[in-house]
Amino acid sequence: MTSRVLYSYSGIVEHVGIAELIEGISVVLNKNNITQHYHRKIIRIAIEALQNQARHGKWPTCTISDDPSSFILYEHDDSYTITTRNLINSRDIPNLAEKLQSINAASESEISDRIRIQLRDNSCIHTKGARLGLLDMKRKSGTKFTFTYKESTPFQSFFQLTITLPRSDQH
Amino acid sequence: MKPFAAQKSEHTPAIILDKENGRFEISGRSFMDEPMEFYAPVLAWLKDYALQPNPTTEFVFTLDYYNTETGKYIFDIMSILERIKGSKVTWRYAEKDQDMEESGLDYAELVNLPFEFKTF
Repeated sequence: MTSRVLYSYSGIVEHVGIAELIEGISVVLNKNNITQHYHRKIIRIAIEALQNQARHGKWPTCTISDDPSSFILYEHDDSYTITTRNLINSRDIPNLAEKLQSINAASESEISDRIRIQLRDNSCIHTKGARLGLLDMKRKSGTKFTFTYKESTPFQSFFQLTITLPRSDQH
Repeated sequence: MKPFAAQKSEHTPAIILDKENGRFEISGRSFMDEPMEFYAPVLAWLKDYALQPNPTTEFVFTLDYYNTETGKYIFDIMSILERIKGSKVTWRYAEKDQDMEESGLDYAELVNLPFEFKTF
């Protein structure tokens, strides 16, 4: 199986910079003749992934130059993957892991139901803890998340999330 | 009633709310971090419009990319439209764009409004 990096970014993800990153990804996808079908899906997943990083992945003591966050888009023979890496508070890990496992275990229709419930429920999305973005990425990719975390101190852990988008000749 | 308009940018949509000409449209991309700042005046305008609406109101959505936080405000717009007699939603999306079709179906399930799906 062959794999290559289509796009990578290292450093702090700031909300104001996401449009620029998305434009960069789009340019790369166009240069590599990625079909419209996958182009749209990748961009939509990337938007949510980057916004998650901007929202949850900023470590207060990191400066622009030493923030270890990264975003990588890979192309494989049978899929595209987006992998994000960032520091998070260690105490948030159990809750996050549980949410990801729950989302992974849910069926397509359960995911759609959960999305609709969260769209309708004001309080969820406005607290930004809704994980609506994760549900959306799961639905758009159609596959389970893979994730790992490694505690570097009792207070911070390095978290990695991969979203896989299978490819088929149909598109 | 004065029209409301917003120009599109890399991450904000174009918006036209024009009672006199019967145009109510959102198009483009929407993935700003604080959608409340952007959509608050849109919602305020619509609530005002709801006090004296046109006999019919067709609200057209032609969104390319939008984040889930925007999604909540789309729902809020449709919730106001639900209260306006003669309202309908036209959900436009690129042919074969299943994700956008699916998103439209989410809203069609959630709100009590006539929904038309149109591809281009």
